Amino acid sequence: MGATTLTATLVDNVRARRWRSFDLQLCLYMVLLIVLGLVMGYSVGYAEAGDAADLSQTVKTLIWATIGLIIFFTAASVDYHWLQTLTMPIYLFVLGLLALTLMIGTNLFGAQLSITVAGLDFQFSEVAKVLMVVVLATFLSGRREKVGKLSTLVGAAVLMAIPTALVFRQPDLGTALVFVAILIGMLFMSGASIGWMGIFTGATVAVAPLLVQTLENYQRQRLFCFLDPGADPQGACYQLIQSLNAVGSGGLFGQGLTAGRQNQLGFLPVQSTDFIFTVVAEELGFIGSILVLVIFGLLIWRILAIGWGARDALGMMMAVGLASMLLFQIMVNVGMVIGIMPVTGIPLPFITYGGSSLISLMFGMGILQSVRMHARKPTF
Amino acid sequence: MLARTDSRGRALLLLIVATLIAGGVGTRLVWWQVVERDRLATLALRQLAREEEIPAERGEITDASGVLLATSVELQSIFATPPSVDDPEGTAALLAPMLGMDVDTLRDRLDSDEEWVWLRRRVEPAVSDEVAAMGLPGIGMLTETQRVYPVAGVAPGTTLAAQLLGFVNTDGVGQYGIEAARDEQLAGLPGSVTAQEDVIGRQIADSVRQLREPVDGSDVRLTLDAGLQHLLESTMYATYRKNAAKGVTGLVMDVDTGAILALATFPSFDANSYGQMDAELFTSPAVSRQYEPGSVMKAFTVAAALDAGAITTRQKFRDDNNLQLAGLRIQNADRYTSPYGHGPITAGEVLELSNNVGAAKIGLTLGREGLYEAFRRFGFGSPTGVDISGEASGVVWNPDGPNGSGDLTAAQNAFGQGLSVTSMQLAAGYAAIGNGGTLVTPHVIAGWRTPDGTYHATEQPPGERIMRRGTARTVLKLLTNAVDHGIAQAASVSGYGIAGKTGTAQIAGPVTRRVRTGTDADGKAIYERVTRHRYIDGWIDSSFIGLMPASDPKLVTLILIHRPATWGLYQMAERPDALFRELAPQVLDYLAIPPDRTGQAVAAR
Repeated sequence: MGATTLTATLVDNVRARRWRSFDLQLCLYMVLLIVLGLVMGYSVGYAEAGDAADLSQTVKTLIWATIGLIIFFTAASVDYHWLQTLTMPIYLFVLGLLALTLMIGTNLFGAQLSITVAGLDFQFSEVAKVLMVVVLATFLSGRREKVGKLSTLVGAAVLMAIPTALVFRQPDLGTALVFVAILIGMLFMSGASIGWMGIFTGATVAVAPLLVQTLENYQRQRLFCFLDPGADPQGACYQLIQSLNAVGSGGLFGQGLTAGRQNQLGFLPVQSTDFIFTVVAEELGFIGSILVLVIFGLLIWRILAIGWGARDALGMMMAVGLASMLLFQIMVNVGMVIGIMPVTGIPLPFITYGGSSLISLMFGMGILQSVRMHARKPTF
Repeated sequence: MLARTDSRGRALLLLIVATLIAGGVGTRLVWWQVVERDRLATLALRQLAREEEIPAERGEITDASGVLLATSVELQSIFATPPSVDDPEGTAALLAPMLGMDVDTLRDRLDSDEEWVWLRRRVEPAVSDEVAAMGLPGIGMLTETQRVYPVAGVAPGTTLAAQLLGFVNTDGVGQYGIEAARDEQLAGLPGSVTAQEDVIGRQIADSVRQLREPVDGSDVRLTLDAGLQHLLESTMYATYRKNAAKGVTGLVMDVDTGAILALATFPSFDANSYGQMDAELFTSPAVSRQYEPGSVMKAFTVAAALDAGAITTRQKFRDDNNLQLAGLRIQNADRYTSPYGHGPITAGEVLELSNNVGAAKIGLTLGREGLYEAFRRFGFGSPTGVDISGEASGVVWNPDGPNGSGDLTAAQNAFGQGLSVTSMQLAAGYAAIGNGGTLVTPHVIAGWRTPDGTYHATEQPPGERIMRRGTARTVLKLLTNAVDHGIAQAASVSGYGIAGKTGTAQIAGPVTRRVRTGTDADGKAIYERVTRHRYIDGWIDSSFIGLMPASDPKLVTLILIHRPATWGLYQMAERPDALFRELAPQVLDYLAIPPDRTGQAVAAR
């Protein structure tokens, strides 16, 4: 019987020796962050609903996390090299989905960011980020000795340019920037020519003002608020000002869960999405925020350690790509909340509410477990 | 791919970058959450806090015996929330007659795009009860207070002592009179509740914190006597009409304390519907109008000269009805009947005859500096400090100052021209003559009762001695003679000694005349129309100030008739001294002041 075979395969798989090298720390940090996301999401839902807490978001997140866990373990149990084989279909899949989103996406805050499947909003740009790490990892690891040449750089840039352009058109500036960050991080760690990278980066910086010109007015205004939050306190910079007030109100120990005034009274307009760290800062305080950042730091350290111990360049590149992505997202998201980065719509990994982001990240973590478990010898 | 060592180098670089970023984020977090914490938390709290005002109850104003002159009542104001009005047409038709509004206007308001509109503020209780009973959708009521002045004035369309009391505007702020001058005391302090509210304005239940209880206003008690006020208003309004005057002022004041017992000014207004009144009527002319007083000043000239020892009561001054100073000739009012003057006369005769030349010579004997300083000491040229808002200070020029003309100024001032005073200053000055030489501060507020029921009498500053007691006595005697034997005999009252002085002063006004300004090239005269301030024929301020009873004055009474209709040589329908004779017995009777001249039959008065 097929089912029996499958079960047997699974049992064999689970019993396999390689599970001994399953990275418990990585899993622990991931779960901690997801739980934190759930708790913060509950607090926000509490705020929005008043006395009767709105649990729908928490329940949804739980469902997504469950699906995510299945994907995580599945990805972990399969040799990550299957991704290498599927790179071309994956790349086309990404382009297709992003193009589809651009065509039929539902309208959320004026941007076509997601499409709705079976009642659950699905944001393909989130999936695309992880999948593009896979694509680039395959491409770069395949270049081997030619990796320092200009052609590698151009090739990787072109590969990345198409999905970047598609998300930029949505318009989703944040995800486009994440793509660029992934590209730079992976190129850098793959051994691409630093000189050429410098030239490309210089060129990008040179055309940046032109790109800023193509932005929608609201994006442009939000972008520059961090330089002078007082510029438009009731308009474009409202969110940032309220966010800073909330962060400051948190103090050293925070005001306690579901007790953050700024959060609970609705002064943070989009708490549940990109400004979730504000709620962390307000309700858990400086200690709590630093703790969250430390968990992120440990997570990234584990990811890089896994990359280090990887059997081949593909595993290494995947780790580097995911680490770049996480690092950039954390840096920009937290930086935005505390006013040292411009306001762009970049979610905080694992914590910002969003099923597609969550399962994509868990898929990525699953791949990393696979990399870890298929390493030649256990390291670290 | 890179060699592992090379890769390690790059990884190290990346690690450094990541550490720097982490450090930056950490520092910034410390900055916001530790260093800037209080400021940001305050900012956050402030936007949450909403202050609700709890209105305080405005104090009442009563007369000396507790008669209510001003109080506040609660009335309903009717508003509509147009979006919830089902049937604007029908509602308008129902409400229009009740609210006394035009049906179309009302319908337009009910049909408007506004979220909220007033329909009629502060309606009669009967109307609001009826509207409430109908329970129309979208029609609501709010309680507002309305200031009410319950005692009607004597003149039609006025309230008693309206200019003295002032009124309270729609926003609850006192305007003019006592209401303005004592607004803080009367209004009290509105209380406030701060509650934290969320973005859509719902109060957060456990955050309601009362910050401040409202402190109700204090009740103000006046020195005014409502009965006497009514009496004075009747008399003054009658003469206001009889004389066809532009205005009248009547004032009765206690000479020893400066307490104002009655103050009647016309034309007046209705404080209950101040909105329909001419704003010029709101200030009390008794304190705000400054005018040339005329002969009533002669008493102060004599007092100044006597007090300085410059003259004696026996000293004679030659009156030839012709005193020339700086090219101007000073003459007497009786120049037609006594063209060559009255010869040598004493200071007492100057007052009896109201002699200009004599007064001028007394003033010049004292000296211009002495006269100026004495007038300033007697309170002229500076506000009396009376507790009624809008007081003017009057103008006394220093004869040797930039606006003075030396002896001419002093001579003119000596008989009450070339300077301006207020009725209140004159009354205070005469009170000093009556009380033995002390300048008291006129006042109308006796005290106030705080909401806890304790009564605080207004502390009056001790009077300032402005002349020797002997001087005051002497001048009082001379003024008594002026009424007994002088031209003010019309003011005499049987049974009582009266000390007093009349005054008639011309009023300057703009006069446009055709004036030759020069000749043109052909030698023809050029004329231009020039407007100058000149004394206008027939425009006078006619006044009488009396102290009674003369043997030991209790009251000073001032009567001023501003611009009565005149004919001939200042003939008028009713002179102020004659009016005083009519008024004084009633005042003395009302206040039960015993007669001081028992030699005369009281019944015969």
